[in-house]
Amino acid sequence: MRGSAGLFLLFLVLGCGRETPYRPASTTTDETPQQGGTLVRRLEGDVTSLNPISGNSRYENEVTWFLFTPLLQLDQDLNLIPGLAEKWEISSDGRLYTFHLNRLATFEDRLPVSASDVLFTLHKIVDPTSEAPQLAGAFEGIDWSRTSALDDHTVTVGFKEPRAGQIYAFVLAVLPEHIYSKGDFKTGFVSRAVGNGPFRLVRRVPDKEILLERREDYWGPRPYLRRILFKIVVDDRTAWNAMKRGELDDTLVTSDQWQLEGNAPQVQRVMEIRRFYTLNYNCIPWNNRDPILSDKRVRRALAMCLDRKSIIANIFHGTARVMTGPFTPDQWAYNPNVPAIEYDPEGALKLFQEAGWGDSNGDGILDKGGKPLQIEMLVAAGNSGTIPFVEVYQSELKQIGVQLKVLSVDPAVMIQRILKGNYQAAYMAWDIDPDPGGTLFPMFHSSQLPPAGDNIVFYTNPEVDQLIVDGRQEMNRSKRMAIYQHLHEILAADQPYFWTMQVSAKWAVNRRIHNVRESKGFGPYNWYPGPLEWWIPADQQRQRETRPAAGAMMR
Amino acid sequence: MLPDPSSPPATRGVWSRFRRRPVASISLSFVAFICLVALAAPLVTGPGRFALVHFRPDTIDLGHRLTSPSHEHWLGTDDLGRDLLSRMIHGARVSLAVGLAATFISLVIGSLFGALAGYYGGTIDWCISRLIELVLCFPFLLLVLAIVALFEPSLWTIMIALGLTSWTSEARYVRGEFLRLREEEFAVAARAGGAGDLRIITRHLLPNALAPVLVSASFGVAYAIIVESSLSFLGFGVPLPAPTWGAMLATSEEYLGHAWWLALFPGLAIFSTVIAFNLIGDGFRQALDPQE
Repeated sequence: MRGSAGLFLLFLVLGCGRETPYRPASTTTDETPQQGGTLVRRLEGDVTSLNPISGNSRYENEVTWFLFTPLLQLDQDLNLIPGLAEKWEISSDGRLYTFHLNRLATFEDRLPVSASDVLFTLHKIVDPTSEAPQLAGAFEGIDWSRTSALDDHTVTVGFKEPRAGQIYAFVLAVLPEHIYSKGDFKTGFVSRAVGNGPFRLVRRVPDKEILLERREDYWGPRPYLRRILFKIVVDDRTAWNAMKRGELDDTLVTSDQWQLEGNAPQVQRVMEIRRFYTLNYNCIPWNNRDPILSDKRVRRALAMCLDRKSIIANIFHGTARVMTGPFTPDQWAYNPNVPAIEYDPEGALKLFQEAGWGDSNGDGILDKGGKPLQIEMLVAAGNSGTIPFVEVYQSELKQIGVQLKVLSVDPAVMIQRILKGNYQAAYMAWDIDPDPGGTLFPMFHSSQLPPAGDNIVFYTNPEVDQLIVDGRQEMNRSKRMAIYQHLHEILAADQPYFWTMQVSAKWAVNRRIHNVRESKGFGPYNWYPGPLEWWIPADQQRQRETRPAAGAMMR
Repeated sequence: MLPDPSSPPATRGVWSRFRRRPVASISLSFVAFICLVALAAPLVTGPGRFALVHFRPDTIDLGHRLTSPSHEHWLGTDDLGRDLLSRMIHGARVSLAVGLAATFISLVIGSLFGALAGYYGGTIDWCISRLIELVLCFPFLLLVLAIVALFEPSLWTIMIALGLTSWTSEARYVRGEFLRLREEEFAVAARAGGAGDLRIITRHLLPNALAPVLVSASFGVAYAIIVESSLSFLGFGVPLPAPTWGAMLATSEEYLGHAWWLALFPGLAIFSTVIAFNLIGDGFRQALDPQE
């Protein structure tokens, strides 16, 4: 994530830009927060590691941000607020970052958080043996000669060149050097964690649950909740049923569940469902090196074959919006003047013919030089949420004369094939950075073709390269905006991706949870101190969930 | 009395005994009906002259998602507004094709290994028996999933994967029959008459051993249909947009509380076809049983 966009396979789509005004979660008149209780959250997949540096999916962050208070935190509107660092400065040349650590901050073993812990963490991130590529990208320009601890509670981090948005990389967990320097860094902290956050780990039962308990000696404002239990529930249907029975306190729900059942009185009695857009969108990357897809007319024509308005109205019940480029409408870099590609099958056919594709043998499939217009699209297997979209697109393309072959593959295999360029098209989602620059460089700069970066579409355009670098070095917001809006135009014209749509998150929260506020960064940046303000009325607190699951092992 | 080698004793009169069982006869008629529907699928659905269902299985109509059974859509529509009946008729093709082809493959492989093991015995028998045990060691569905995941999922991959993993019961049946038959007088007579191994196996022993194996095969078809449905349900089945009963059932899970027809009809189709094949197998088994 930070500094580098996160590659996630499409599942449910998560958070930015609220559609509904904030309402308190409860209608109870007494709003004095009460202590105690166990919050039961749904985790859509198990974590691969509790080590916040080597974790690489959104599920890890959902858990580890409770265990580790980051150096800087993001508030609800993605503004930076103090975390471990109570204040910070950026030098006028934009190359030197100084952080003043909170002197009260301690790890759960009561030892203070010191500047040397920050340096240790930075070294671990950059160390290739830690396997932290998601974080390492944001620190590739670090200048070690100017990075040091000024005293026990002050640390300066230098960079070789100024970069706008660099500060977001410091929404970063800090590891205790005296613990994490011992033992195997990669494998020793998978089910074990020693943090400096408001909660500590009680147990992790792989594929089942993770239980956290409030630290009574936490150095910051103490949360109201006593325990947080993460239950790993992969299946959406199972989670929805558990949510309705009150066994889960929050989950994301699918568009159909929201539309078909969301307003039922028995559902409304138990939960409130909120709808908002997040920093995440769906897209189809085209392999720009593919002989068929290297022609941008073909890519545009393919996009013209999909009736997105009908899909949004009927499959997503109006809870999604059409994308025009790599920015969501809520980002300041978004250019509102870039038109969306309209559904126009006849126009698409003309464009295909212009590019040399015609049905010369009358079999209903376009061809060129004896080869049919056939495109293979990778889809993550076992992911039923993507199937309706894919089937509609397949059927629309077939009517024009394009054969879309859908190949369900294992998610891990899918990522590998995409990174190796061994694919034509894929259906997936991107989680993006709060700062637009953080995502553009790894995704579109020609130096970032895999394995170096996330330019998985193998897009190279010298003009775009220059604009990306300019945008990253420009510190003036309005000048940066002009650069990014220009980039938006060029990328929309080139169509390296088919930016399909942004689906809003539908987040169900049990009504017993009070003072809930959602964050614009609900996706990968779902951490903001908000959950620490949640509370449960004493008469609705339950204790039974905290019993160990059958066969639980204490770790 | 000496048995007549050209007319195997075990199968004599089986057909008339089978026909006397009403449940088995009904099942057989049902399967024949499903086969007929599957064969005629392109004719009876779509815009054609003989069409009974005037919708193609892949015509998407997002304006009519999840409509309940009606005069227009007899069994309702699915989550993309496609006619469920039309899709089920086409789905029958996939289920039957997979069931029959997989069973045929397992029958060929099973008979070959079973015949070799039973006829020759000794080291060959030992090796083949261990091989059977080895294959049986792996959980069946996992083994199939592994094979399907290894190659590109397609109708052929699934047929072959199922055939390659389900031949063990056929092999054991054939082996058992061969162990008994090779000592029978007609086999001894054939050998004394100078017939070669190949001739004895194919002309004398195999026809006699096949009847009980066919019983197991009809159970095998039923099982293969279930496994294909499970694979489709898990998302590893026949690729989109081919309609399969299992994939339809998988879609229905999402809408269980709202669109009962999505679960009921494909479920009923799988259930009744599987039951029918099982009852046919049962009918044959009883018809073959000399005690009855």
